Amino acid sequence: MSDEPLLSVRGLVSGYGSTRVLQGIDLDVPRGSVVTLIGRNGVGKTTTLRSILGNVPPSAGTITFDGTDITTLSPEKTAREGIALVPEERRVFPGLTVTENVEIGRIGGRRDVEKPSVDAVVDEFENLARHRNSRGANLSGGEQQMLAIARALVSAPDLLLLDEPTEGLAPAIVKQVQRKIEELNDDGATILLVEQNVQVALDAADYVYILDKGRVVHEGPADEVAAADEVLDRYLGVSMAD
Amino acid sequence: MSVASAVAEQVLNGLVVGMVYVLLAAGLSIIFGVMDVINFAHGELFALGAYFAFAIAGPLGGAGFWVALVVAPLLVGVVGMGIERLTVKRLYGRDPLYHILLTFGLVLIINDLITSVWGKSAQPFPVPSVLDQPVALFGFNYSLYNYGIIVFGSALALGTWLLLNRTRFGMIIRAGSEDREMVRTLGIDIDRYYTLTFGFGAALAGVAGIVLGAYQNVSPTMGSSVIIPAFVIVVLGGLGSFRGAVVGGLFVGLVQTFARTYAPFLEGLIVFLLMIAVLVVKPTGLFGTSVGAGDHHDGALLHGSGGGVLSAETRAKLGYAGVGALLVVPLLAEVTGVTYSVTLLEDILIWALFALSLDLVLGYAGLVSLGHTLFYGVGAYASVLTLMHVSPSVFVALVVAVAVCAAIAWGVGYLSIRVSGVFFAMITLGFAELFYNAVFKFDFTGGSDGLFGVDAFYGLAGLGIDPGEFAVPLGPVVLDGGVVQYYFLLAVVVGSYLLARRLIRAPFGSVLQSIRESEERASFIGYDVTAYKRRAFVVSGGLAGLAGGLFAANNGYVAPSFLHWINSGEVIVMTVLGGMGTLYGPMLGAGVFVAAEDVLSSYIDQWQLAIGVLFVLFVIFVPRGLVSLPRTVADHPLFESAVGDRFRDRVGEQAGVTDPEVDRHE
Repeated sequence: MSDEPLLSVRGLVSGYGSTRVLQGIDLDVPRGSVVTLIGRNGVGKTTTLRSILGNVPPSAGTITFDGTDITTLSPEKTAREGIALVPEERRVFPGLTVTENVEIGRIGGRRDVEKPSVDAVVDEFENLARHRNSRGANLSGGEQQMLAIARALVSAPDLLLLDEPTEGLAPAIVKQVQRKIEELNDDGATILLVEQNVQVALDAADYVYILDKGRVVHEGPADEVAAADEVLDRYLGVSMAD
Repeated sequence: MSVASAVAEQVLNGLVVGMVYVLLAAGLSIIFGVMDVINFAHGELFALGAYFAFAIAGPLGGAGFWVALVVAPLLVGVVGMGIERLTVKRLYGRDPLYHILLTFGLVLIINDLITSVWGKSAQPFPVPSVLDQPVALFGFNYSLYNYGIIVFGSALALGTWLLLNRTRFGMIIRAGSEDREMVRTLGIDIDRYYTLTFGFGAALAGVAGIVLGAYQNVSPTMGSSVIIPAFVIVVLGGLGSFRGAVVGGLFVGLVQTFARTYAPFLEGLIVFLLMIAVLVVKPTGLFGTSVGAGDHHDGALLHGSGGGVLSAETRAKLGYAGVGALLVVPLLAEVTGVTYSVTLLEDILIWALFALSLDLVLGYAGLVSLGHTLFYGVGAYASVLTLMHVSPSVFVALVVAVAVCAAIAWGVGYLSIRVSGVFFAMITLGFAELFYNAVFKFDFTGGSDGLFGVDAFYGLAGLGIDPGEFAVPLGPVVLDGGVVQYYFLLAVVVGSYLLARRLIRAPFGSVLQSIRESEERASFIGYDVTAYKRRAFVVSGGLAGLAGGLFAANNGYVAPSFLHWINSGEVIVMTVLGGMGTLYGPMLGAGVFVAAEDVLSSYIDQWQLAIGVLFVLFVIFVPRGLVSLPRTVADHPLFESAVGDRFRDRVGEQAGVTDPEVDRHE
């Protein structure tokens, strides 16, 4: 295993039509680490993830994953390289059962790795195992979030992208999601996390990037950023002091 | 035969027809559910299946039918996959309207190919002799072939259900129908599955065609006669719902069969009445859910770019020049003796008015009215009936036509505008078909002959011009009544254009356009979106009625064909061809379309094919219409250095827009 970061983004410029959202982003995700992007609404966090995945084609910059240039790959090819997404608002398939949702995740992902069985992954999530045959639409928000994570994990990804996994969930469920992220990281998963909840973001992360207006305005190890009150106040309007 | 056996026989007949509908509607519904494509060409694929089988079975003799039953659907499937790869695929992400337009063009192409290969008349396609014998069951004799259809159809439907619900392929396309981007993001190449799905749906249609072809016969019109009922079934059952297609198909088959025997008056009407009733009570259909019901497409309607390379003044000058040219044509025609040009121009003017009326709802309110010929036809009937029974005055007839159509538009709008998008399209189509079938049923509408032989008087209370007696010598030529008709028509069309322009530039027009851009935001500002759309629909219906009324008064007749859905398709074609969302674009489109049809049909036999091909290319490559061509050319890399730079600043200033191609994102 090399010391190269698993994912490396350089000078990424991207957007929709003539609207530029990202103005040149640089970031690295080392193997086995949790890296977090935080920032206010509309600063380009989700667009960064979408550009990495190929849903929004970048207009400049490079994205290197595991030594391969994936800048211009389509979403399906990117996923085949071993990147899985837990998307914003979960986006489980509402008409498919829990088992089917996980099964379809297993069809995706890398072809050259051994993937865990659907049952094994569902069993890891207590609240999913109880509802194997329920349709996605009939699950609670927290269960849907777990299902979205399970759907990503079953493809045995090398890199997991999590887009606001705690959004709209009750505090108790947020704790569960947080624990799950820690668990995954303890098992050696590499995670790029986008999070609005600054507390969750800083707790989970090894390294943090703060985005503003399509640029990285601050970066550092999580504990340093947590202590940088002035930075947090300026870009996020929050304070970790208390 | 006892009553019970008579009813049992009707039930069997209904199931036979119903099975054909199930196979047809299932394919249509799967294609819509997965790809959001409303495939108007599905009926032609159905006909293609029958003809392929006919061609294969004939030379092979006895076993031919069985070979054909396997090979023909596969061939249709391959044709379907080819269509998807070459045409449909290019339009994913655009509004479903463009698929309607595209597949409408494909209808013309496939149908023309069928008639040029196999001829225009119906041909017998014999059932294999093994199946061609009666079976005595339930106390009466019934054809083994018909029992065969019921069993075979059920098996295929069951197989399709298993494919969708019990296989990996089915799981992926169900997931794709719910969230295609997510499926892609998981690493699955959904495009490949789209192609397969389209092919599968086409093959199902092909099977249905073979089954029905051998039950009746094969004819080039078999496609257009089943496509509308198939749509009704899909909408009735719930767009994209397989269960809905099965239940709806059997139900419609039974209802049609029973109506034919026990309530002949309702035959042809009852299905549309049912569809309207279901949609009014449950807009998503019997088994439809909001999930996967076409609400996840993010493509917008593409409007003709108003500014473009030509400035507003240039366009106004062109407009004046156009009207000026139209003014002198009859005089020139008299001098040169080419009077035919006047008739053609009258046609163009009427279609231009019709297209203008559609544009008010399609281009400005974003409502895809798929049954706009309802108003054109009803306007024509109202006009002729008024001339016959009330007053010989064209003025009175036109006022009645407009009033009747506006009233019907209000009613239809009341029932349909609350449902959006595809459902609105289908419900308007349903109403148009209801009226189309209804005019055959009544004496006062002249049944299938229509009404003809009316004379019109251009005046009121005896004061005015009777075209029959009008003659003004002017130098070497004599101006006759035809000239009066022409100038009257021109005046009405120009007047309607000015009225529409006034309306669009008024606050009413601005609100409509804001609704078109974002219904949600317009309603947040406080506008009653439904009321505005309905008002636009009423104005549009009135103008379409005016167009129909003018045609009927001018030509002195009306026929059921005025209400045929092909007209609705053609007027949409004209509107998009010219560039919807600009008032002059659709009128220009009407001119080009009618003229092209006229010229092509007089020189080549396969003119439908030619128009279809042109149209398919147009939808794919110039979706913003003819009015956008100057700009498209100026923006083309080839011309950019020559023309582009010179115009770019001016274009930017005028339109105030930098890039009309900005994609929407969430």
